[in-house]
Amino acid sequence: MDYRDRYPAVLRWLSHLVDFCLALGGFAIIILVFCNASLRGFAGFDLAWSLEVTSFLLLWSTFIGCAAAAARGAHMRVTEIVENLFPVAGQRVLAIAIDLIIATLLICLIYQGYKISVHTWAQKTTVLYWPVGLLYASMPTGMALTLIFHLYNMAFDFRNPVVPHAAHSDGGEASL
Amino acid sequence: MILLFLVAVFLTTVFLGVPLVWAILITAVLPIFVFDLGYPLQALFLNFIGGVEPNHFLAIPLFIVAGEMMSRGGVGLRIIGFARAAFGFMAGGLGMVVVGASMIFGGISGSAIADSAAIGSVMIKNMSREGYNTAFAAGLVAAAGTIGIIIPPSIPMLIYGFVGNVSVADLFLAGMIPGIVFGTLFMAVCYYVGKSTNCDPGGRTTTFKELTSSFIGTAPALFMPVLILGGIFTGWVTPTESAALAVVYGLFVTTVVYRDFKLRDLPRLLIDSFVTSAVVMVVIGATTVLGWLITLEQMPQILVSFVQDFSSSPWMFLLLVNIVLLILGLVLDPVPAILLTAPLFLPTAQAFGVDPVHLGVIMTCNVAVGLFTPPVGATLYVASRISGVGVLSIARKMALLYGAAIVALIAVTYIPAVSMSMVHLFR
Repeated sequence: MDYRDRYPAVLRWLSHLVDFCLALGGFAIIILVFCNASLRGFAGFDLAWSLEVTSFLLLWSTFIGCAAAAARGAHMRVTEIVENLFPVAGQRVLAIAIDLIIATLLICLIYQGYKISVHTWAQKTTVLYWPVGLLYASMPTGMALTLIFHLYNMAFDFRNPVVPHAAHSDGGEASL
Repeated sequence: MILLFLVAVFLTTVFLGVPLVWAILITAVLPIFVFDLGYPLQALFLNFIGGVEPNHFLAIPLFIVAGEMMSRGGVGLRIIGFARAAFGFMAGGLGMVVVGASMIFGGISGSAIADSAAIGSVMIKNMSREGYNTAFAAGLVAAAGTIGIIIPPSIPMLIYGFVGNVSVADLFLAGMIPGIVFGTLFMAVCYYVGKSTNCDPGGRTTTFKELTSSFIGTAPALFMPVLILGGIFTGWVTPTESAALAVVYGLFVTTVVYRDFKLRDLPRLLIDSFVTSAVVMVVIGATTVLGWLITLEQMPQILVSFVQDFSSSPWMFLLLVNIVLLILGLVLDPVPAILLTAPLFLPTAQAFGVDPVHLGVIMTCNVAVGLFTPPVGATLYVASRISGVGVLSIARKMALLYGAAIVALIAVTYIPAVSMSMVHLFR
């Protein structure tokens, strides 16, 4: 289920900001890769810095995209087995337990990701001399945003016991 | 012991409904504490970031954008028109239109879901009206749609190539004949059903003018796979650059030539595509963590000796690959199924002398079959949603299609020439 319509104004604004960054980053990636290929094909040279910028954009768009997917309830999951084998009350208890485990994992990822980013901040990229830690900061930042959306989704599920948790999952959006 | 523990934790978490990315991370983290392996969590999570860092992974969101763009306009309708002109005269012709259109559309979108949705939304109703059983029509759309991930360009093959360090160009070449084999067998089923039930005995006439005009209408879309594959095979562009080229070309075709896509819809399309891509990419990152653990604990070697205890024949190993992937395919989507098993199967395949390109095609074909088998079959759900027929009712009418898919799968697995002849021809 897409939770965004149920978000309070602040979270909805945050979700729009994440979407805006994704659209902008995606557009920049397309333009950079296309221009680089065209320049190499027609002018015989390419932009050395574009590789670093696109790497940076890929990492950041992936991890903030992970948060956008959490807001949409779009992460891939198998719900059919629980839906068919567990009673609704059991599904609710299970959903709360799973949500708590995910929240713990996210906190762990944010903490370790922050440490990785700090440890690599002094290292510089080859062409643009950007801190490597800036690339790696994408993970804790994305996970922090994911945690914010996840906590609200969890509270929403908790307050709405009539809706089984499984119905909130989707995953179809991510199928290829 | 650790391998069994990993399998048990993974299956339990996935079946309990934990989202795949977190289930894989939990599977990778737990044994470190349970077996006191001593690996620092920082090293583990560094692999999570490193897994999505390689620049060539840019091809994944870009191919998703290109496929989405071509799926949203009227490209599907034009392809159906062309397939109808080409196959409509034969018995079971409408069914063949579904298969033919899915094969062509698969070459443009690279996605089985987009394929089934685009073709199914038009064809299921048409087939029902002509006298086909609706459940069979929906099943055919679900099965034929999966050819989209076998015929190049294919997103699961692209991901297998990147993760396993296997040539994407070779994989795309190797997927062509297996895609045609699947398509031809599905068409044979349509012919049999059309003739035996007399719902579609054929005899429709198509003039040469109709055929050419429908081809001309479809040609700009048909040029997309030519551009992608031609660019890669001639070495003019890398797979990543070919994906960017496909996006720009797709934008030109849908906005300027067909005029069925508005530029104001571009931001929404980019957001949707990059969210889909992020979901796949974080799973790639998580499987990199698991792959790292699998390698450090020498699990592929354990698997090799386990299989060799039964037989040293590569056929036995390939049978194991088929069984594992068909079972995994029942509950998992193609990309995670490939990502999870590739780190284990690739080194084992090399020990048995199986070409990694051949293995990639076998794995893709297996997970393609998984896409239209219950309980979790993405194209089956799409067809069910469009037709309004339940998933199990559709599956019951698909016996012949499952049979055809298994025959095709056996041919692809045990006759390496089916996939490798194109590679040997162009290598």
